[in-house]
Amino acid sequence: MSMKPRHSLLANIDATGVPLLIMRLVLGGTFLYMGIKKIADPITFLKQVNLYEMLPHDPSIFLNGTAIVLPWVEVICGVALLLGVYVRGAAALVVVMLGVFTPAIFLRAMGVMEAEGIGFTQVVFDCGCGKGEQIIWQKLLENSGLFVLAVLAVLSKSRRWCLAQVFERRRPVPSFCHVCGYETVRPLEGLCERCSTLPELPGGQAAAAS
Amino acid sequence: MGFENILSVESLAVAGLLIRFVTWCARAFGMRVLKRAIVEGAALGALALAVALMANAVRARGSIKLTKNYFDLGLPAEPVDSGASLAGDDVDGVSSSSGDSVADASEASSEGEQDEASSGLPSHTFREIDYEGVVKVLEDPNTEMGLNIFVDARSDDLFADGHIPGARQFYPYEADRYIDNVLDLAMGALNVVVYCGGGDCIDSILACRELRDAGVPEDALRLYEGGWTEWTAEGGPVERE
Repeated sequence: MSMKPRHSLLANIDATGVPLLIMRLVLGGTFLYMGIKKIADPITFLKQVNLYEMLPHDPSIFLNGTAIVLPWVEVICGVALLLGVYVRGAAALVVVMLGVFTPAIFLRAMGVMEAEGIGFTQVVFDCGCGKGEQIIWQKLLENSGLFVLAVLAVLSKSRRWCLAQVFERRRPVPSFCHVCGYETVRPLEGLCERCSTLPELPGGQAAAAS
Repeated sequence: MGFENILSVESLAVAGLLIRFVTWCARAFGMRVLKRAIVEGAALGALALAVALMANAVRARGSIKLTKNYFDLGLPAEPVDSGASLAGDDVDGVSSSSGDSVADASEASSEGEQDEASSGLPSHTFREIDYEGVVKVLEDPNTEMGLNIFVDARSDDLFADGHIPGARQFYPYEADRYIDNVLDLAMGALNVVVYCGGGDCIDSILACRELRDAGVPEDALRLYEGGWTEWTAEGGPVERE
């Protein structure tokens, strides 16, 4: 007889699907908007990336490639998060992007602070996110919050209200429980981690308990 | 410029922190989570790369060439003799009927043409012109005959919002699209005054470089460093689309 596993408060909250839904909407909406703004004016974004002085002019493929590809990465991650498809991967890409952007903005702000002899809270410039000139300490705070949300989205095991759950049901070996939407062990190995339901195989039959 | 900033101590420290954070996540939450994140992320990244390159290839405006150095200031490999000045050098036929010469105004500004610290612009080899010089060129009768032209190196929306009367737009990041707008006139002009936003904007330098590479004599090019910001601050005439 299998024992029903005990779950932490955080796991219980995560299993409701509400935190992930909020994270997906915030992250997906933000990155979709910023990506579209950059795609609309790629030359301006290229000039903004150049101002960070992190990529060489020669060969120019790195700088130009970043200006071409990065906006589309943001758009595709935004769409994936909003739809609930490849959520973990989209959130991981957002973690990587924010993990690079945020320190770059911080270092540039330090440079501006030294060059202009002003306090850190007075540093204002267009960081290239698509929203124009920003008060940088607020931007860094915003980015840090998004970073935390993205990390939590990577770690979340819930797939409620995700399009991925619909696709999962059609897979020969689904990874998400058809009852609670929770990511579960492979069905042939045992019960759903969350609700202890036997996983449903194609044809509507429940798998045999191991 | 190279990868110096990426490889700086601060950047490497941040990268190290990120790697430690990812390793901690893998230990705390299992390799399965990390593996899935990497696989899905790689798939989305590959999709984004393909879509981005296709979209860039087909877009009519704003397309970026992968291998073009858009920020090449056109500096020569060998140092240029910066001792050359405009002293006694009439600025290519500008009428001196008023008793003044554009050369006087240009002389005053040409001394700083190689001095990055004073101008805020990076080094360049183009002759500069100041506000008074630009006004003289604008008022010169030769301008109406097309022998002096103004080139605005800003983007479409900024140009439409206002520009020096008679100026032609030439956005250096889309040189192929705008070159026909200015080349014929510039080739036959005595003075080609090029400006952008001003301040630390380098678009005017890039525009000068593009025009020079297209065949416009470098002696005819005049870089108005103060740009649109100074022009409007000084109350210069403005034309709108």
